[in-house]
Amino acid sequence: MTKAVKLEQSFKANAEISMKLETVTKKPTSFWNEHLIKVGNTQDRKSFKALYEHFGPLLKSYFMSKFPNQHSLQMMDELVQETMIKVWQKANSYDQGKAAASTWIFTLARNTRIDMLRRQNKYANTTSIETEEIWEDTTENGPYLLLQNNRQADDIQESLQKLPEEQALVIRKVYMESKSHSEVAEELSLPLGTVKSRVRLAQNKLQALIK
Amino acid sequence: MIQHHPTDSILVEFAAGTLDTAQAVAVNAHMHFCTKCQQNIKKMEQTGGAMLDDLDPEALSDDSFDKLLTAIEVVATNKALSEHSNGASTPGMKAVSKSSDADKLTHDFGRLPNVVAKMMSQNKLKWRYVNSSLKTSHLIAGQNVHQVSLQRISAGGVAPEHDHSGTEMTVVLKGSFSDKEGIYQEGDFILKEPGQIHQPISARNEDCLCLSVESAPVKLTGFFGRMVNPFIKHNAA
Repeated sequence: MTKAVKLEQSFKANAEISMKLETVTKKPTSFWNEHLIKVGNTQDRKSFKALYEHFGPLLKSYFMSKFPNQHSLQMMDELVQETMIKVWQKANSYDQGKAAASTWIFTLARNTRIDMLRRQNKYANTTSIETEEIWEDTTENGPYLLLQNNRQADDIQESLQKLPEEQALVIRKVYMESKSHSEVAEELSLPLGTVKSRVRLAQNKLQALIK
Repeated sequence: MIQHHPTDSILVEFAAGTLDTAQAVAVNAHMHFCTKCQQNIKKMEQTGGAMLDDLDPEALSDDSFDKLLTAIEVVATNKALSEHSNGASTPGMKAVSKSSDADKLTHDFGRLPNVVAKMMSQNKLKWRYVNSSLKTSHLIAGQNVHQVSLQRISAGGVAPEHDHSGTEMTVVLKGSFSDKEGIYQEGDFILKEPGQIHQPISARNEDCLCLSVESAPVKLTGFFGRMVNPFIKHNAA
């Protein structure tokens, strides 16, 4: 009897510990930035593998949320691969003073997705302007004023968890499912102005801590 | 000082990657001049990064990392091969002709956004007069949703009064113009919706060069406008 109870208690305790571990093991931004820097500096394969194991499944999730009906898993894997090849090739231009690893990888994934959509347009061949030239790294040209630090990215992560559900839903559709404001408005049967203001409110809340 | 910026929702759609290519070119051109919007886009990209990190992961196949490494090697080998076979001469020659084109454009218009300069150098500009003060030249952006063009109003010139049958984004690349609602200077971003009739007038001291991205050809209003409208439509093809 008592043994069984004890066992159950220790089981519960273990479960709690492992749950805590899970939240603790969410790696801070600096952890991924350093891996990315190592890939850039020395083409470190261990670091690249660590990045792949973390971001690969997230990238697949990102591409799947944009194309939920085209469940060609092979295509999703190819888009993940295309993005990770860019990570490998461009890592030496990565600057953690400008962007967190997750932000930098997001922009590469976004451009990969735009690339794929552009390739489907039969007029795409009429120009040699690359997606990356239009969605360029805006920090390259002008004087850079917004310095990012690792705390900022972690703070944004944290405040993302605290967003009201209605705002979180809308920005998820905008950023991850890559829907235009009017598509989101139609899908959720909301006025366009409401969608726009929820996006703005969410954005302001995420940045509030770091202003 | 830049006074007119894209709305927040246009910037968000740019950062999220949902904006149409041609409209993204207009935002890109504005950002060339505007550090404030560059920073806003950066912040929105931070949001994108945080959300990416917060997604529920989807399992990848077990051998996918090995496949990735193989793909990287293939890409690297192909690149090395093509660099080797092309030699140094061809790219060098290309660079010369490109830079002289760029020199001429810089001479005429000053430093332009990279993407606009590239579009201008890829195809010969064919200027067509809309009226005695306004000429326009089509640019190719590899899409069929919007009409992308350069508009040049001569110093002190008056463009035809016109309405918009769809959204029109305009970025002032050089000089300035005004209409009844305001004065627009280098870098300013102007959004016009259907029903917003206006008549741009260039400043007296210099020509005004603008990039324009229209979701449907503009409608000219007034007697003279009706006469030249078919000409513009012809040009749009």
